[in-house]
Amino acid sequence: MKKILLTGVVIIALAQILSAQKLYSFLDNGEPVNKYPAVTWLKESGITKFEQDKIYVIELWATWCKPCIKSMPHMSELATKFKGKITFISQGVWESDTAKVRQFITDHAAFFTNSMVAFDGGKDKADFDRNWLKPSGTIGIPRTFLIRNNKIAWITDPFVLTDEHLQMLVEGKLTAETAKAIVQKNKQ
Amino acid sequence: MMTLRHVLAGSAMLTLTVVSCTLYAQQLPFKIEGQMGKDQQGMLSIRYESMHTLVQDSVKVSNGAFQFSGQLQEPAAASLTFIPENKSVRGQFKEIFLDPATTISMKGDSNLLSTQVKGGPSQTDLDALFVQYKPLQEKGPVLEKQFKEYQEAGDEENMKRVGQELQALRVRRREIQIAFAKSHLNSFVGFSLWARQVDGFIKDPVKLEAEFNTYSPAVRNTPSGKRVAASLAIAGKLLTGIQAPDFTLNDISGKPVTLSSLKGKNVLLWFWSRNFIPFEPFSFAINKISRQCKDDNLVIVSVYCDSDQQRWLTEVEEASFQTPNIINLIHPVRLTAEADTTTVGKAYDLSMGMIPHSFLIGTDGKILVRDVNFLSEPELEIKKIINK
Repeated sequence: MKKILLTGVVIIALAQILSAQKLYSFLDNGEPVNKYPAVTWLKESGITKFEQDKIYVIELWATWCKPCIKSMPHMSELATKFKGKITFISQGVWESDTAKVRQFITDHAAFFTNSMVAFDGGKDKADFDRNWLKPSGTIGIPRTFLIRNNKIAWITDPFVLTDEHLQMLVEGKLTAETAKAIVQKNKQ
Repeated sequence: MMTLRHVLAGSAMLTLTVVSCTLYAQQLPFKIEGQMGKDQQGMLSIRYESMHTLVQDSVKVSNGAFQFSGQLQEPAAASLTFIPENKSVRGQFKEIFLDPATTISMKGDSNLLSTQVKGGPSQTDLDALFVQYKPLQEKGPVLEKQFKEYQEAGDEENMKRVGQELQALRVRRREIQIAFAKSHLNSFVGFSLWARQVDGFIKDPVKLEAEFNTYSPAVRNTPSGKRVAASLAIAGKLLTGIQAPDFTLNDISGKPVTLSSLKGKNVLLWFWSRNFIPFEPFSFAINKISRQCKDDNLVIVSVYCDSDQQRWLTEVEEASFQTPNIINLIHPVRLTAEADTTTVGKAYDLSMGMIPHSFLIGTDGKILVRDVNFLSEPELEIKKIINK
């Protein structure tokens, strides 16, 4: 009996610790964001929070994800075009081999010239998994998050993201609705 | 993107079964007597399900000879895997159909694939089905090999093309199965193929019940047939326009909550546990509905179906089901292959394969939507219906 009770106490304590660390319950278009989950930054710079007056694009990827790699030239082109206006973050997810990720970045340095690069450390145990991927219902990559004024402006597939979207984001005119309208227009 | 549909968390859960049927249905012995070529040595394993209990057994193959025996209440699909002692020879896989009170003979002059299977009526039906599969079986491996080659070469255009051809083969296979099921109404093999549609939440109980009734009494009276009949009967009482069955379950503070006490509000009744993956799209949808409908007359009744109360608290916390319009209740019963005998278990057919599922209930307590689609903007569908 004592043992069972103890287990219960431990689980409650664990749940409390976990809940204390939880940054976000729900991440969707229009939801507020302030802190960046704990990750390992693989280049000289990184962030711990989103600045109010800054604009961010977070791109989720993994070395095993072929569509992610396919989207990289397009994303790095956008990063170059909006250098100084938008902070690009290439956020590696769902893999635990740091050496492999570092090697990939070395081998494909051109893709990461104008972006910060982060590594989350693996599925389920990573802070980024718990505090970003799960609250945003993310189950597939690549996936891109656009952030302005501490709010998620739009969550998208990187292949439909254009410089028109980013220009509107810079001008503060981008919402999920206006963004989807551009995608629709480009389809025709 | 991954395909979304509930997947049992582990095959070990399949071994959890309900004894009620095993007590009443008669168990009859079956036997497999096999002889491959005399040069065949190794290990042969068998897998089959007997009333939702996964049975696994393995025997040593000496000089090609092997034998299995077991007990069955009804016919069962079985798969055999032969792992030769000589590691340079590839393993082989064969599907057969077992009948109770039957001896199955498997004879061949080389490996497992060379054996001719002679068994009961179900094996005869399976042979007839395999004849129809034959053109697909020849095409399938060729396409798979091509796909792998294109994948290695990074040739996406051809990968897409071959992928579509493979998909067409799968569709064709299912068409063959459906046609076979419709034309073999006294066959357990035919019935098993048809019954895949009732393995999980039953979308269209009226249509499926009519189809079920075309099967012979012998098939319908097998334990599986009776179970399908019971599920269809429950689903028939959960149609749109019908009053949602009432129940009382405890909330997180231990206070009993009765469904009918929520009359006057629209209710999204959601039954879940953590026996399926991926869970996140569902928890995300619940959070989205909760936020987008916070000013609508809607309450989300989230019913966790598992006996582990501590885990429930952790899961609720992790999934952030803590907004004011979510009521967290627990149905403290570990789900099995068959619905439990509690009021809510019987009324909503709460069994392992049925989770997760949901009902949108109107202010008058009547069902508005069966099985809300959580994966395609459910908040918009719900808003549209309740604000009509």
